[in-house]
Amino acid sequence: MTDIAELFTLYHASLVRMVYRRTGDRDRAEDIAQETFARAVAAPPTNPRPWLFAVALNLVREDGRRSVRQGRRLQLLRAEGPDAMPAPDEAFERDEGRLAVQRALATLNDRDREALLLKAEGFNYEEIAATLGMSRGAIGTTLARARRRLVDAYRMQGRSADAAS
Amino acid sequence: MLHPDEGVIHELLDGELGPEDTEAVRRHIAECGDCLRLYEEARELAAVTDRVIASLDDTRAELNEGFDGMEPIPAPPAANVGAGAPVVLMPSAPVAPKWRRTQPRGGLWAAVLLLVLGGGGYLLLRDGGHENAPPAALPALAALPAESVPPPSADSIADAAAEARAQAALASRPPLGTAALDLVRADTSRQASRDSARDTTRSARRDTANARTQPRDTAPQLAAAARRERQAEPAALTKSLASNAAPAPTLDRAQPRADRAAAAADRSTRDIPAESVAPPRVAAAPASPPTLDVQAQITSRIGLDDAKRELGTPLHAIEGLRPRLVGLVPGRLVPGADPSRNVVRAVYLDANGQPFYLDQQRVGASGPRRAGGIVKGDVQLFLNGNVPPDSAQSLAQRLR
Repeated sequence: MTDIAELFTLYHASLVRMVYRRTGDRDRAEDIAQETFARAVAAPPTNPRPWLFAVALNLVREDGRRSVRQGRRLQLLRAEGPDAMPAPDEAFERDEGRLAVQRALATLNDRDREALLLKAEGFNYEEIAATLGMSRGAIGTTLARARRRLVDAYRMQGRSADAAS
Repeated sequence: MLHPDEGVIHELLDGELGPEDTEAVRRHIAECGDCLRLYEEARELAAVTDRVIASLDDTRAELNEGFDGMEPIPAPPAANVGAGAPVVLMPSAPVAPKWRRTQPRGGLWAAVLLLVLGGGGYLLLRDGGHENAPPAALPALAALPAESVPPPSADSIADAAAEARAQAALASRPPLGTAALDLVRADTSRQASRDSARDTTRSARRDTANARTQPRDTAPQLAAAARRERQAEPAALTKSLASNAAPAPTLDRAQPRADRAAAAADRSTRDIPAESVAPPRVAAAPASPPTLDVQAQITSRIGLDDAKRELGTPLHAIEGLRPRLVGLVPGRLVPGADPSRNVVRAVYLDANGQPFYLDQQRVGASGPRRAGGIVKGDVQLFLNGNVPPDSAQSLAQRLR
């Protein structure tokens, strides 16, 4: 049986980071990671890394289960108050760059986007294929297409912003 | 060999091809100009993609706790990487207090000024109309032409606010010597002045944008935009005090006025002379110790999978010791080595906390070699940094 504490140590940070990159919402990423590990406790996986990331991505796609959304609302309520709010200007500047990347990522289909995010977490092709339910031979082509589309979309936004200003 | 498709080239880049296929594709690329171009383009795409995705991460320290199981990742010191000792660009003494980051800044001080001036004007007007007022009373503000009252400039408002803030900041600091006090006062004042002018610019721009996008009948929003606009444009403020009965603004009025407010705020930002911004005094601030990344001249941290891709084999390590971090360093370890193969540096700390490095680069089975290093398969390794000669030999024997 897989030791859940070891899995948590090994994969929690990476999982939260990947979901955060996918959703842009830190609280949601934490909740989804928590829900994912809760499921791993209930049904210990044999191939944990692809399993954990596949479950997390399913939760993202489903826009979170009811329990995740409830948890998120509780988090938001707890976070209310002046101390939890960054200054608007600060948040605006910090988010601008990230929004540009999020918008570029949003132009990709789910499979391309997730393949890229898993690759960025150090997954090899076998693991990406296992996580996304694809054949190993299709990963190279998928990544090639995804990288090209992401870079094109990102550069296009840069040109649009330049033209607007 | 047929031309490899783009997917195969990306597999090659990601180290996912088997040794025979790798060799065959590499040989083909070396001979085929089209495929070489495709390969270079794919390399750039992969590099840009990694950089773009990494920029999604929130660099706030509290959000990086626990990532990679290492110490929190500091904000990337892009300008300092590989440049030796870090350069402290800003003094760390005048840290903005929390209330300044969570409260409206310029707007608040302008609102206070508005209230004071408005109350005073009202009192003057009321007294001016009183029967028993002495004939030598102060002239009523409303009776003067607007041009005769020198309008306060945006700079003066910002300066007044900045000075008040500087006083507050000084009051909360422990006592300093006179010279140091003056330096801190000037620094805080300049910083606050720039902050205030920048805030005014931003809020005026947003008001302008809002006024343009609002429907014509959203009177409360337009009134709010006009109020903020008046705060940003002191001349308009003085005139409205003189008339003392401004009608509710309409979209047609608010739009050009908001444009003027944005332009005025822009001018106030531009008008801060460059020479008034003193160069940072490095000596005044205690220099924070460089991070391990900076000490080790790491340009980017990498994981074990990335290291494997660079080296074509798992990262070599010293048995019994745990690397504190692994990353890429610029340059070539061995003259004549393939420049597309980065040098991977595993950073260790000795018993005194001093870093030393196990550098490794893939040079190929028949590639160039350099004396003084250790060769393991296709990889040449060197122990660099502060390694005592007597320790170097025992460490080398523990290389795996």
